[in-house]
Amino acid sequence: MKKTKSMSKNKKIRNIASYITLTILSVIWMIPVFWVVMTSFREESGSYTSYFFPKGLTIANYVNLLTDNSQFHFVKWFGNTLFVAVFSCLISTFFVLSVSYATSRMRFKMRKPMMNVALILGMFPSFMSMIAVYYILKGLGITQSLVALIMVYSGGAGLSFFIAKGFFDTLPKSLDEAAYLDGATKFQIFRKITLPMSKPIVVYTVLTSFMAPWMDFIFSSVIMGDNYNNYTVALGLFKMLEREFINDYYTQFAAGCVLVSIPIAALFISMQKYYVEGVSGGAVKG
Amino acid sequence: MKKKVVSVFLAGVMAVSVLAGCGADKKEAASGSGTSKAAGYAGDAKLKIWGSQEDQDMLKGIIEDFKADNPEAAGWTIETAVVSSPDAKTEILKDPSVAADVFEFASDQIAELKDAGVLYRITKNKDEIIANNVENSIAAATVDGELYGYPNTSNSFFMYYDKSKYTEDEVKSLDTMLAKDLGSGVTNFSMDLDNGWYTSSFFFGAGCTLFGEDGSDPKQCDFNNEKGVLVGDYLLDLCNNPKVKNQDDALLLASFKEGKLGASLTGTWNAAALQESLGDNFGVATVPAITLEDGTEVSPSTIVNFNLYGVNAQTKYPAESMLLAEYLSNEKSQKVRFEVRNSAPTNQALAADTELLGTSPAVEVLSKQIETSTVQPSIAQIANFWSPMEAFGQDCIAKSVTKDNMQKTMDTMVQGILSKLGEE
Amino acid sequence: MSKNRSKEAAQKPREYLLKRVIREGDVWAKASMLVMGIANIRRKQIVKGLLFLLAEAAFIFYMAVSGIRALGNMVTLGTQTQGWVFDETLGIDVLTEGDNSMLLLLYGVVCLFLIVFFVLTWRANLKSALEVQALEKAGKKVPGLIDDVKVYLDAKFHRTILTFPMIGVLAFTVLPLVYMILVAFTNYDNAHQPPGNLFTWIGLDNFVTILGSGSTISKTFWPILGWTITWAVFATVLNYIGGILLALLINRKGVKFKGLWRTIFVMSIAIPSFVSLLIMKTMLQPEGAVNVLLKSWGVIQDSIPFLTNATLAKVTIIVVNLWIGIPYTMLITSGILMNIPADLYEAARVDGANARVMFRKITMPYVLFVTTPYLITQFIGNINNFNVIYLLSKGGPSTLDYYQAGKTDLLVTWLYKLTVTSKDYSYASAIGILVFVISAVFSLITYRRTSAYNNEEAFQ
Repeated sequence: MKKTKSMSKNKKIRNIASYITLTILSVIWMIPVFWVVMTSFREESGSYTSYFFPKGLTIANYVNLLTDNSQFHFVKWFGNTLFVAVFSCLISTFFVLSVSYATSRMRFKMRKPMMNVALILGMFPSFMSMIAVYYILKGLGITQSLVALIMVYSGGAGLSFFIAKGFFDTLPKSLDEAAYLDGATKFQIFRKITLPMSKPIVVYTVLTSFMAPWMDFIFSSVIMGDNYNNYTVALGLFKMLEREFINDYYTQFAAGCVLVSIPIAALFISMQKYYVEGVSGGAVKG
Repeated sequence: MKKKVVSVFLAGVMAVSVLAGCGADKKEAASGSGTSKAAGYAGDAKLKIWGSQEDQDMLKGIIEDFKADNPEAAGWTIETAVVSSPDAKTEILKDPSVAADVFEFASDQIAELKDAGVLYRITKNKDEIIANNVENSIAAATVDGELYGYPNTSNSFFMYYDKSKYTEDEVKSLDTMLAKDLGSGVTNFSMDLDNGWYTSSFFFGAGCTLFGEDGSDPKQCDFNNEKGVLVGDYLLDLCNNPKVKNQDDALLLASFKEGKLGASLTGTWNAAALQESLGDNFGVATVPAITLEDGTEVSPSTIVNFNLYGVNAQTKYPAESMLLAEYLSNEKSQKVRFEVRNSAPTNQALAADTELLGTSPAVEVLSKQIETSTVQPSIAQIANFWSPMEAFGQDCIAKSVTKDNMQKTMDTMVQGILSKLGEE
Repeated sequence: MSKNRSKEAAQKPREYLLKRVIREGDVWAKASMLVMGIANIRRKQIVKGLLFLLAEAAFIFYMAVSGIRALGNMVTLGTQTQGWVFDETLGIDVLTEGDNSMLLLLYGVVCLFLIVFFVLTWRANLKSALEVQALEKAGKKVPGLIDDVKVYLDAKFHRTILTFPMIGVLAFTVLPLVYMILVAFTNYDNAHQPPGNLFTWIGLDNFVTILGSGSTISKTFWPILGWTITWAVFATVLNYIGGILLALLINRKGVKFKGLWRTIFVMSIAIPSFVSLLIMKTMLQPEGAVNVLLKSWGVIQDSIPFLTNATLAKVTIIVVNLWIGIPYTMLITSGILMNIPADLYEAARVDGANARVMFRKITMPYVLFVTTPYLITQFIGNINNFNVIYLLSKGGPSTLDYYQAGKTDLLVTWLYKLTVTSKDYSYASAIGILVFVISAVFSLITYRRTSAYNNEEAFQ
């Protein structure tokens, strides 16, 4: 009796310790988020202040960012990025699922060599070859267009199939075999059996490929060049930090960061469950 | 098999279009085909100008003036696109065939641009251009004795100070300024201590040279001579002085605004922001003199560079582009630029017009200071200058340099400045 | 595993295709060697045959028009330098266009790709010719177009779904990569910029210069390589351990509101790293928010030089990377932890195993099994982690010891600086290849040893 009591007391202490650790960590994790939101509402301009909490709060930063188009076409750039993100994530998802399904579920002559090549290709720093990519796009006649960006972001997607393949590897193969014995074609198996079970990995792939265009500023700057109208949000926000602008625009930059983060974070958090299942190859007996 | 067939087709289509696309460019660009054979101008030239985003409205206005002043240009289509002068090199070298016909660039890019064969040599009205612009700016626009750019604005830095903290007399000497007690929490003086653009002025002032007397010898730099080492010591003292802070633009603006800074070095681009935050206490002055350890007084010679207009070597309309570039950099346009953007003109007449320049104290002091400035060398090796200077500044701030190893540090720095990538 | 291999080996042709055509093929099959698709047309596979023929015609046309010239130019990389002629009447120079080595090299690479494609198509054509011949001989029906298409939804389904991804990868990854690899063997550096200059092949000189010449660039390469590897090891291992510990902490039985905790940490993944890194950069400056906060609490007197002191900057970067990386591993591993089959634990408990043994014998092997590919990709990703370094410190603080690089520069950020600021493409490419060699050696060794690679079906 006494022993169980001390054990439960022990447990309680450990629980409290867990909560304290988690709380401290959470605070650390939330500070940058808190700071950027606070800065986006700060009344005083400039990137540095000698105090932590702003002296005045305002929504002018957001209003200016969205309405004042004299220097930065934020709304337009936001739209561009959304457009690119939607299409490149559709194409990427299709590519990734295709390749991972083929390498996981089918056995064909070039399978292992192909996987090795993919692994190797993934090891070269990607922007090394951006000048060649630029001229390939030029040959196709689509430089400075959003289509070019979509192609760049999704073109190589077929290479990043390893996580999705890992997921498919954990799906029981017996279902496939049963269906195959019943006379289903491989296409039918893919469509009717595998895909419905693959929601987590589809969500995972969609999320990761949707987020890429919001972060890249290197390829978009090489491809867009002097076409200011087709900039993406990341490139535009990066411009705001240049010497001429940083003082006047830092708080607007923060507002822009918040506006970019909200939809992505919302999407991400609402899809979190599938993301976790997908990335951890989860559907196994889950 | 079908897959392979399809892929061959797609690849084929792609490749053929790649080849066709570029083959075509080559022929079109071949010989400035747009310019009509006689000395006249094409009636329907299509030109593109690059300028920074803030300049766009002003540029459109100047283009209107250009068309009004040049009847032969009435039918031209002139568009503007956003590439600011620091980015011009990267953009034009990426693909000169689609770059702007006329573009603004910073003078330190001129040697690389010329070497890469993307700049047009200026021959037309050359003497007039040389006569109209201040000597320094022409020097910066010249490579191997030939003119490659139309000087437009000059760019350097000077000192802003808070008149409530320093008198006009005090700002003549940095040592006087540093000796003054401005109260706790107030920094006497700040500058970008790890930026060679600012720190080099003390070396030049002490008589050191970069790339030889005329800035054209990539094997010469004597920042590590006796005087240079003393300047190094002085900079180290500044870094270690609690009354001095290492501040970039963002920080110094914030400090001035809060009234916690006496004086700082920066350029005309901050004039408007500082005028607003300092109000009546807004003061500008030339960079103050310093006294080295051996007692020599040094009046710094700030580095000056220029924004130039260049004509793309691959333009289809060379004569037209030159007409436009010349107009964009003439007295009238420079005056507009001064009024709208607060840029210091290179035009002789404007630079001498004290009444006009008097309307902007910042530009006035800059123009005055340019007489003793050092023109930023325009050889390609200049690209190697900034990073060792920055490293030196950061090492000083990090206190990893001492006066004892100053000579060795300066030797390493000079070695870095003069080094070539693949050489020892 | 061995079963797989033998199965895959069995599919390999036992004999060279060409030999078979010569020995077994009839007149039409042999004629297909010259006139592609003729065997198919003869056997009523009109569309397929015509496609082959069209491919051949297109290829010959391309080679005649520009392919052969492109190959020749690739060897010389151009001979004609751009020149200027002064035109007296116009009063200006007139440009005589020269060769652009960079484009010539690119066209050469495209041409090589087309040749490889053509050879593959040609082989497919021969194979198909033999196939239809055999079918006819056996008196079976030769498949029509529709039958062919059907096969691609079943037995050859992998080809169907791999086609488009492959084209994408070839066009946007492989082709540019081959181009870039070739550049490493040229002198395409700052002094040889097209279109004003030609560059040419110089063999392995760049590698020699970088690795062992004692030149400025090699004095920079080795220390940066050292830091790159240190960084990758720390970033990967600490993230992994931290992530697993956090996952275990959140998944403890006594902890409530698991979803809430997880969501808080997930914020750092959900916010684009582009944004969070730039924000952190500002916050960690000497006058930034973190120092301001610490000063106002009286914890410190002078600002902590988070990103300006070389050693501290390295630590700061690794710590900031933990902020981004730990939640990611936490997500992955907590999913895995929840999904470990309960019967495994059940069985172990029956055998009398305690919690620690179960963690070691069941949890860790399972987690490692699923995450090894992830770990390897993380390591490679960290070697090439451009964003964290570039956005946070830009490689700084700079140092006099390095050439155009700072103390926290990784090889990737350094080569980015080399391409963007000084346009030394050849050196940058050579460094890129060296980065690749390092990653490849490391990961092929580890990857081949993992169960995930050798035992794909263990948990299926």
